[in-house]
Amino acid sequence: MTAVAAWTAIALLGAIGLLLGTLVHRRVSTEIRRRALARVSPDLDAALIAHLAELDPAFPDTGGTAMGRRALRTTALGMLLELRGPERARLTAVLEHAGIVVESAGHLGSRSPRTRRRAADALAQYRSAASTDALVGGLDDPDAQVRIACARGLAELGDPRYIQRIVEVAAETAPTRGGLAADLLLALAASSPSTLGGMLEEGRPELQRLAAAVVGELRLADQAPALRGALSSANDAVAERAARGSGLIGDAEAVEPLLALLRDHARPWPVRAAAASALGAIGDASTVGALEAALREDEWSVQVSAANALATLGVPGRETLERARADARADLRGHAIAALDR
Amino acid sequence: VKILVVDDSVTVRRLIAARLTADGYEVVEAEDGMQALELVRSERPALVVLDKVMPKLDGFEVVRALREDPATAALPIVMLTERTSEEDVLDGLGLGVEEYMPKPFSPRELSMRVKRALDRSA
Repeated sequence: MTAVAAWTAIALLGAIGLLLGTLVHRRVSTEIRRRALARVSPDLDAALIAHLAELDPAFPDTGGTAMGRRALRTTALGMLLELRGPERARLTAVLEHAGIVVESAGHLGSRSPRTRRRAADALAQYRSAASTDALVGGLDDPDAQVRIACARGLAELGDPRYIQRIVEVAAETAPTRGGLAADLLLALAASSPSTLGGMLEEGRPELQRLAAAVVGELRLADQAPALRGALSSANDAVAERAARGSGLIGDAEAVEPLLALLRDHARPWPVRAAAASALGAIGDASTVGALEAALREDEWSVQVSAANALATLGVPGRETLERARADARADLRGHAIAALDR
Repeated sequence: VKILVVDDSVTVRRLIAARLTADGYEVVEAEDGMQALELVRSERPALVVLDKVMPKLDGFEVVRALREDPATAALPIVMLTERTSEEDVLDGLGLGVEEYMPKPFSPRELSMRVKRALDRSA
């Protein structure tokens, strides 16, 4: 064996030893942390629950240690998702008192994007007014996820001073991260529903599309007029979501613009099908004629939606479907039978 | 008055138990639907606080089982749901659920609903 081969073997063994040592060290450190956490968690959990249930006015004592704060934060994050009302406000006060809010706000200044994202997500959940300045600063973070989480945190807090900034982040996010932007609008809908109405009227299609979906899903009836206006949007995706939303809200005043949408053959089928479904959901029997005409078209999805809508319109709708069941056209018969059987 | 709290989350169970205990109720806990049915028979609670989404037997299945048994057919139930959809509420009301409590929830408000359901059943 040459000297070169011997040295290579030694170097290889050394590298393997180093790797194993690092793995063992990491594993041991994790285990020590886990055990330390398990030691402090039960008492802190019990103290926290007693405080939240107003059995004990004293704040849970973390002992001022990082491990105590970590244990409290872990339990609190699980509870934040479950609680609302006075208990949630008490939990936020506990986090503020233990210095956890300040600690997370400080982590927003970290060099590591991962740390900043985690801090921003945590602050968004804490809903502490004490984190407002940090969250506002996070809106200028170079990392998009941090900006979005900070905007969500501010939306949850509902401070009207920052609504425009939140809308800007939503607009920037919507084209590439629709789900995150929708989450942001959901948070905004809780604190400032009229902002969503404003988005529908403003004219940025990405935001209009999301706002229409959120207004509909949350049945924000106060925003129905803005949704109605969006039915005539030149953007098909916006018009489609607005049609669905009007149906979910059951907006009787949207019947005429929905009929116009259904009859507009220049629109693609998803828009017209959504209009037909919305008319069924609103339940105005005067729309039977228009829906029957849609049923007699050749576009499969529009026919299905029209048939299902007719089935919800009481006697006149069902009579129309009964006639279609005896029609010479096989497709009409099939749609009518399926809708009547639903 | 004994209340059975059924939820697969230990945190939620303990939160509810602490609130109800503070309000003067005796609380027994179950972590899934099967255990809940056993405890209903052995502990004879006056009311059940029931989570809808659970392992083994979900909340609706527990309600059905309770309603099918003449001994528990009239047992008041307050149901906790992750997100109250119209269908869930209608299904639950059809099965005889007295009160709904959408999550996230306030334990204090839950305790009030428990009291209301007990008053109605008295």
